[in-house]
Amino acid sequence: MNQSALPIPDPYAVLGLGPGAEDEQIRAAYLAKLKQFPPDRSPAEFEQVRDAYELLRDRRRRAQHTLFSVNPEAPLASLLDGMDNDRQFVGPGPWLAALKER
Amino acid sequence: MSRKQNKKNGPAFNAVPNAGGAHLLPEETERVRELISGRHSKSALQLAKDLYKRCATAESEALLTDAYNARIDDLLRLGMTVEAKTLLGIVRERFPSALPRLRELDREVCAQDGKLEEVVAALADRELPVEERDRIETFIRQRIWDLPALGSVSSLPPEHSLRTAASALAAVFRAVTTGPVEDAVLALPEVSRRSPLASWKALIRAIACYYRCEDEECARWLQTIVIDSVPARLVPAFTVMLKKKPAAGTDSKPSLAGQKLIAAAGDHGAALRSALKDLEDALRAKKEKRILDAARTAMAASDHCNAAVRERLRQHIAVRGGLLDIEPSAINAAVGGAPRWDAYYFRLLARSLEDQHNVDGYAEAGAVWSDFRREAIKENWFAAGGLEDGVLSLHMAQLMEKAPDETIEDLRAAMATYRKPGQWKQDDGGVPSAKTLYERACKADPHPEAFQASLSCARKYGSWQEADEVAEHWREARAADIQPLLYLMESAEKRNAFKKSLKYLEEAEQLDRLNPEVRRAKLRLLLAAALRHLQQRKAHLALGGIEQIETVPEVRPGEIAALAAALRWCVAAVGRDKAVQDEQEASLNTLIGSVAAHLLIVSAAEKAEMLFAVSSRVLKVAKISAAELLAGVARARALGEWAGLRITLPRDWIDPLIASLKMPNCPADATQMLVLGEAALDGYSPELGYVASVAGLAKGGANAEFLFLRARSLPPWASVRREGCITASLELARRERNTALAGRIMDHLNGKKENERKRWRPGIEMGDDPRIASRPVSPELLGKILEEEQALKEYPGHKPGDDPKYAEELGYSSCDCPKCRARRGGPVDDGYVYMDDDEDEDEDFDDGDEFDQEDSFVGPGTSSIPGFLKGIGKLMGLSDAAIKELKKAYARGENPQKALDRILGETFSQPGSPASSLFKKKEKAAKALPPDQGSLF
Repeated sequence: MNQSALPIPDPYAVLGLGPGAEDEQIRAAYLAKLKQFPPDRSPAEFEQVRDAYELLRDRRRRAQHTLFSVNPEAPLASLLDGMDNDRQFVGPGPWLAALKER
Repeated sequence: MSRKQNKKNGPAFNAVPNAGGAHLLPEETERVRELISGRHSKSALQLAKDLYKRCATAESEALLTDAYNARIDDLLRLGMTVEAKTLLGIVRERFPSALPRLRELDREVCAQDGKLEEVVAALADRELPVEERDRIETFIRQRIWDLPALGSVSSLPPEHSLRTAASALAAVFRAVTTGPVEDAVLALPEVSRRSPLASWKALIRAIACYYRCEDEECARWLQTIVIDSVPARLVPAFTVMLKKKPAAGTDSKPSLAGQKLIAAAGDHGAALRSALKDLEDALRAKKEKRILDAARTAMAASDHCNAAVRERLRQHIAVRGGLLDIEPSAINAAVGGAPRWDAYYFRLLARSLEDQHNVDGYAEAGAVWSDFRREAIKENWFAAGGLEDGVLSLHMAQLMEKAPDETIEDLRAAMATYRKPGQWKQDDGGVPSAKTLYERACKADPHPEAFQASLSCARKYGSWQEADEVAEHWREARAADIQPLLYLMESAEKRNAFKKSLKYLEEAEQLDRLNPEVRRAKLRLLLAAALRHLQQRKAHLALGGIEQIETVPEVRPGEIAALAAALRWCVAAVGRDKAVQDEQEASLNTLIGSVAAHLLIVSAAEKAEMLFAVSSRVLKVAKISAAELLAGVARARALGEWAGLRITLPRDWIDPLIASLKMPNCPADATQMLVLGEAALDGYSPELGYVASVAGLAKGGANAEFLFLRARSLPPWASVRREGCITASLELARRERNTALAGRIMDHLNGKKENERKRWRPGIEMGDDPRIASRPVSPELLGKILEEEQALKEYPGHKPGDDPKYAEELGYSSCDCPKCRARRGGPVDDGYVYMDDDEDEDEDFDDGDEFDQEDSFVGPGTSSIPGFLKGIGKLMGLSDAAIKELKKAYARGENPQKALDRILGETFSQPGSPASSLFKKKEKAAKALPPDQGSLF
């Protein structure tokens, strides 16, 4: 069987929340996303937002997600997804040094 | 310049021919120019000096000042400002005529000294000649890199466009190299397109795009940078960082500082990602050495990552490697130390073990979840006894429930050895029992799901008292829930504690009289009581029960009356009152039609153990119209399902029903077809179920339901189609948000197969892989499965290798290895064991049922199916002729089950027959854990 799993969107990421978000934050984020993706204009995004909210609004399902959402078969490179941009902001110094050199 | 270079370019004096004239030779001039353009300014200067000494003409002086110019420029380029200034002073003093030509160098020296005021001062003069302004601006474009200094030059007024542009650029340059910036910041209206600093604007936008990983956009901005400008000095570095090919004719090698910039700001992740991809490939290939090498490389490439990310990598690699049975010490050495045993690690390990989909894995996962719980509480993931604890305990309990007792005992013994005495004080050695876990789950999270699971477990493995105890706890914890009352009612009724049962029913009615489940339970209870009275031939008591049944509100009109009429018919049969029987039958015919009436009477009489009353009853279905037959059967089944009365289909009705469903304009609607399909599966008639699915898929509208029906109707050798149907059915159910159907499919995958014909178990185990639930299904694959299944109208005969077209997309290649051949139902050689080789299989065989290796239905050198059929034949005590006939049937391509049915008559179809017991397998061994239903949507 082909085991390559489709990327299942993280409900917290869909709503633009951190992992420890509380009920009120979840609701506020949901309403904000609804304005951003109304069902008539962005049906696909709306569905994703609604699914994410449905999952997170229920404390039990939220707990299930928190506990069991880890995918041991996920590509190892996905561990780097949460990292800051690999392109490091190093300030103007190194850039100017390269500009200075004729 | 080095001595070597001097040697290479030749000594200047020797190169001058001693012509003895006062004029420069063209080749001498050419030689000096050549040296200048080749950046050999020292040699050029030496040669030009010699020529000047010899000729002392205006021409030779011009050549010498050019050489000085080049030399000073080179010194400045090398950062030797002091030497350059000294030399410039000498030239200025000795050759005043060259002053205008040295002005550029003056500017350069000033710029390097940080005296930008002098460089740009002339720009304050509005009357400055255009040529001179152009020269200064060109110098700014080509040489000035210190934007803050330019923005604060005192020789220009603060509102001067050059100062404002430089200041704005300096600020945004700092911002864009320090963190993400908004588009508005990059607008830079202070910098016009004609400004000598315009290329800086493009550079800043390129940097912003680079950090946003918008590489194409970044490359576009780099292309707009003027090639001789200061910002163009970054293009080679960008070319490397963006992994682009350098433009033709450009210097592709970054400067030293450029390389440092690449090292500091470049994309480190690329190398790590590449290493991780190699590791993934190695893990997939299951090659230990390759895995360890790749792990070492990946960890080395992760040097720039923070400690947390490196630890996560270590944990994931350790878990993945451990599951492939690689020695932990080898993995630890490869990843630079043992992974940290924290909550994250244990959770990862537990999930991995669950994904092994075997009972040992479940038990081990349960134990590891226990470790996770301990660490998670310690790390404040959640509090003990809280909601999360309840959810986790329920999950653990469900895992442990799947594992056999002996596996759990073995694991406990292993854990006791593994852990030192007294370490992690746990009575159960860290492997808690399902019962304990359910108790904890119900206490921490008194949710109906937890109680329901606990109750199911107690019913399955415990005594009735234990199950009742769970239900009582449920009642106490959730007084408004009806389910525990209904269970207690049913439990009491089973023990013939009718009064107690009624008491629970009354309580349930007090909670919610209109609840359909309560009404249904009441009907079932009253019906069971009436039937029991009929069994005891206590007609008067049965009549009392029937009167009570008549008070139950109807869901569909006429059904309660029909049920009551059927029971009254039975009461009359007890009293041999033919007149009343006829009267009730007529009433029934009017209410629900003759077909449904017949089925209802026969089923009620059978249940009441009054076969004498119905043994001679025959309904000639051949004379009944297809519409009436289909509708009647569906109606009777629906009524029986609701009232808890099992309505079985007579065997001689199967063919007429199949013929009716195969009619071009099948009169049955989708609901009736589904009911018929379920009745077919319940009555061991998969072909009827298949035909119902054909008719249903042809009508459309409930494809998910009919695909699921088809999946369960298919024979074992059509395992790929079976898998395809379940895959498509589950995907459709999810898309249609049909939670009820999706739940049924999940239950089916989870081993809770209601109305399932037991003899299909081998097929189920081959095709019903629980990982189906997590299979990604593209719309294209879904469409293909649906289209092909709609086209396949005939019940599949056994043709080895006859896979559907979508098989490859399900992951079944046309591979010819024994496993794939077995999965396709083809002959299996190479010693591959077709049946499950679990030792416990032997439990299903009697001691005397051993047969020779040669005759075994498995084994090398034999075709598995004929051997299998021969084995069945022997087990069932068939004669050689019958076995031969069975083999011939197989060779003809006849469905082996049908052939057996034909040869054996009804014997084979009876549950409990030797054939059915032959197929019994240790179900748990191959059961797997599909995702929770709650996570489906």
